[in-house]
Amino acid sequence: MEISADRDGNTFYLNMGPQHPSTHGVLRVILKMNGEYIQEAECVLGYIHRMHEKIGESMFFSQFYAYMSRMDYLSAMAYNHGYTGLIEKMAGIEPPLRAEYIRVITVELNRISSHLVWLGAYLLDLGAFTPIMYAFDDREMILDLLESITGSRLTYSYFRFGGVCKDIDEDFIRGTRAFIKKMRSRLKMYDTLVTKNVIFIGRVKDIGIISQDMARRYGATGPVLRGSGIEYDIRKNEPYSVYPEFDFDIPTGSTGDARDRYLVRVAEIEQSLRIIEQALDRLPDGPYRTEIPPFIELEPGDCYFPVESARGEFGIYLVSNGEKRPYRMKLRTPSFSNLSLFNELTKGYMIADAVSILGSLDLVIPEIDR
Amino acid sequence: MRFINEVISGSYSLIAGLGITIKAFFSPIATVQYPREVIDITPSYRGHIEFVHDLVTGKPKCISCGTCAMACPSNCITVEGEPLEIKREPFHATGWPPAISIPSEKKKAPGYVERLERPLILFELDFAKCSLCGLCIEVCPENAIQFSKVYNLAGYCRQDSRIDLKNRFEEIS
Ligand code: SF4
Ligand code: SF4
Repeated sequence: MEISADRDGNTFYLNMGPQHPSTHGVLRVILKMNGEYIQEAECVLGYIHRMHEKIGESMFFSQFYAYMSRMDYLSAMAYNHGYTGLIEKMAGIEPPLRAEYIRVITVELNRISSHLVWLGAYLLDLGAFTPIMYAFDDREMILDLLESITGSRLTYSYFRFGGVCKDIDEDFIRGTRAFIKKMRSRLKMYDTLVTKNVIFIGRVKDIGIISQDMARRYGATGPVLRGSGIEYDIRKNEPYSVYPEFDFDIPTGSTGDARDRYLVRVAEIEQSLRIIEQALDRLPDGPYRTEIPPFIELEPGDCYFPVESARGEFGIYLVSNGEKRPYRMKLRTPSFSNLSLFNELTKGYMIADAVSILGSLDLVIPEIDR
Repeated sequence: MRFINEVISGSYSLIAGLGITIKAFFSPIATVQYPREVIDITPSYRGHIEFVHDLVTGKPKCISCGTCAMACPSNCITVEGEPLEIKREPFHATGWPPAISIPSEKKKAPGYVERLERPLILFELDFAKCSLCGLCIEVCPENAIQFSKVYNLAGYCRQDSRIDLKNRFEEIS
């Protein structure tokens, strides 16, 4: 952090980031402070801008798989799903049912692992060191499972147009069932260790209250929106893939403070476990991939396809002019909208609370800058 | 009264948290001592690409067609082959030499196949740019490449990440 004072001596500027542990990446926030209290918080973006949209426009459709997972490295599967879903919708490719089930299973596993990283890192921001060890221990199980089918541990490029690149086997199914059982018992442990902890409650209760109106105004999505009590989840509101076949709830908060966002995410872990369980029970036999040519062409037209990533609505808008490459690609990432709340949210709070608020928004910086 | 309540609830959550730590203290160790202990990597692990060992000829299957270089999103493959030439080879029942045979009816001798061949000169992978997406492997018409199981990939300079797959194949075999 770097400090510079204003002329009048009362207000001063505090530079948080771009290398600061609580900004989780290269986000820079210029805080205008009055003593310990924040008057203005200006986020400076662009430190990790890589022009993903432009890269997408210069490539064959199938070459862009790998770039998807580099945006949100914590829930890469959902991004894979968004891209393959979009192209399949535009090209009229129907993936086999088994592939859709495998996609749902892996996306939900990835969502749990993303929430676990967030849980550990958030509590680390708040000064609790132990939970991250437990969270990473649980996440390790997911990573091992996903590695056994995808071959990578973080930036998966597992989905293909018309299916997935490798079938799941009995070991994976057995391992996932064991994980569901373990995770349920661990959720009880997190409840005792974190949710009921008085210090934690003191740090998050009534901090960073997002009203429903404010969440709507900024276009917040995901757990940030649901924490304010708005039941909006792409998986339910605009169903894609085979999500309508599963029975799950959308957890929502009531006041919209940091604690509600925490509770929503923890409840989402349980809901994801439910979805995975149902998908494993009903997993159909059959092919996991339809063979399509590697370099496809799309009809001229445009399409928007949103999916629910761990952080909210991720959507791709693609315009095709009938060539092998897209004419225009626009990526809508959830953290960008969620971060835009930050200025209004932190006004009048102390700097320690700003860290708590920033953590509760669950930001992934490469996805904001993309 | 409020103060006493706070003290009681505070001490309870402290003790509950400590209880979990003590339980974890006696549970099995979750980590391994890495350089001394190595865990098995999964069969689907993605290391950098390498040539598939052809069991019949003992040579790489690559026909230097360059499809992989074209499919690679990061342009990290360089393939160079000698000029096209027509080869006449005895036909193995096992399927080698592979598919690209040219139909020239009059020269056909029984037991021989003729095929278009481009002997490989150079196959270089710039691993620093590779995103391990696996597209090169999927598009290869000969199934000539696969993911290796190499994970110690640190190097001292950028040149260290340039891997000549042909040399590497010869060194290994
Ligand atoms: S590895 Fe396969 S795709 Fe690449 S040049 Fe050789 S034969 Fe062609
Ligand atoms: S794995 Fe992907 S990035 Fe790496 S060489 Fe093959 S096609 Fe290129």
